[in-house]
Amino acid sequence: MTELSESHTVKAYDNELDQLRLLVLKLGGLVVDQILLARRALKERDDDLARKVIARETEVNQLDTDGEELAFKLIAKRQPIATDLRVVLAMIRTITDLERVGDEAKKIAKTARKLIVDEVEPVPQFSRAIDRMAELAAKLMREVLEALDVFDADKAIRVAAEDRHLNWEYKQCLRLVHETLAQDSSRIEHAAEIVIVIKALERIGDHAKNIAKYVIYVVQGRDVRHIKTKQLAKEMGAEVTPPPGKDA
Amino acid sequence: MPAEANRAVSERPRPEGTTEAVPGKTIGDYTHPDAVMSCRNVDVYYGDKQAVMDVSLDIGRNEVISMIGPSGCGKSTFLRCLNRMNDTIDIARVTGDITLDGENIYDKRLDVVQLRARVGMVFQKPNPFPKSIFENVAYGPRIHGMARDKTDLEEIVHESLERAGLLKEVKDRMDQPGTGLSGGQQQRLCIARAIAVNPEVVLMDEPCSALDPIATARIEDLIDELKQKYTIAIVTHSMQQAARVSQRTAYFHLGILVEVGTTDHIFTNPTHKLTEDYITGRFG
Repeated sequence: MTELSESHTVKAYDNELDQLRLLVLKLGGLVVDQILLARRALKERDDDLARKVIARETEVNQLDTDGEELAFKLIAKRQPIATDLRVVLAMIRTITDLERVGDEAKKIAKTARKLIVDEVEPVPQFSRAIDRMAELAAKLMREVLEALDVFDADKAIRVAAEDRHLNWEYKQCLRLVHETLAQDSSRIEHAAEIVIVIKALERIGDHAKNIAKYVIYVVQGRDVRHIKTKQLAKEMGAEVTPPPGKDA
Repeated sequence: MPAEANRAVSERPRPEGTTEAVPGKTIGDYTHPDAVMSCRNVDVYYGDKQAVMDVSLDIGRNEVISMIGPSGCGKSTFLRCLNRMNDTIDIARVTGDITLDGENIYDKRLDVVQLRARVGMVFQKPNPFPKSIFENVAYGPRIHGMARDKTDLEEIVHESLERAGLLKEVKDRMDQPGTGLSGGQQQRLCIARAIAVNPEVVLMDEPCSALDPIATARIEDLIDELKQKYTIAIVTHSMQQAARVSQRTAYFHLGILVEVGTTDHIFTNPTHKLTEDYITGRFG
């Protein structure tokens, strides 16, 4: 695909595409905030904050519905083709992924509430590991939204490749849970909750990777969803750092 | 190669509303493995003005090929070269090679009336003869001596109307004037008239631009059926129509064939920026 000229002859078409893009970015900003708040609620054992995250899920759902409606109307009115069509398709898919990221944040907030209500003693190793994962998951989401904003395929592939680091962190966390359980099996209930949280964070990384691949689809005009990230990064000549013990 | 196409990129013409220059040569494969018509280095001049520049393009057997581009881009002028309709314009001059089944259609010995039977044409505005529906369709086969007798002629007329999807609507009023039909019916009558002489290629110059959406849909459905038997080259201003009816699409700009390719490619991921900008409504 080549770079597009700035605007359509019909200015209202540009406005509608802009509205859709801004709505997606707003939804993206909201779910990143949800991830960070859910993590804080968990870390600081803040029940009010956890409740706030759960309550804000309706805002996420509303933006999801509004975004679909905008895209639906845009297709009906403008019948987008070529890059425009790919942009609209990518935005619709991104909305779905972002809504699911919102669900994952809610899941973390709910788990936080359970741990607070049950007065479960925090395990410092778990907290540190979750912190690292949450930070990386939020970073991936922020960066993929930046890539989506300007349709930067190079940045997108770097985000997709960094998801491998989050997967690596997830496996480390899981190992930590197993080790803790091997030493103290009375922690089983707590461990199960922690697994829910780290799985949610790992899934957020997957959604960031999906969105990154939609960006590449818009820019390159080829569907790369089912191409392994490692292979795709190689094809695109992207310089990526592999997770510890893995090939680039 | 004409001077225009040989110019350096910086000197090549830029369509209004874009900073992108037309390419030095056509993007995409302009050949077809089973070409019924072949055009090579075609230039068309109206007096001093060059309207079509160095266009090479094959028209494949039993394919529908659409020609798109903004007004004045040379697409209709090029289409009219394919059955020598430009001969009717005094100041028009066509150079280059155009063949039909390997035969040069601009050969002086070639009978233009025969050529126009083999390469029929349907125009933007339906133009039935001021005669009965029957006579509109019977005219061609009669002057070309295609019918042995009256029954034979009736059979050709019925079959042509049937193929044009009009027979059911007119079979009980064949003696009524063709001009009394609705716009969409008149256009299908013109298609029946074109196919009555059993052409190899049917040229359509914006055949639906004067029709309502339902009549347009009928013509598009008809094009889909006709391609089983004929080759169709259609000029259209409707991107959606080009995307719906054709297998290949050729994009013209400033008299140059900018890009040609499968319709799927042109409408989902065209190669040249001008094509992308034009089909997405960014200029033109």
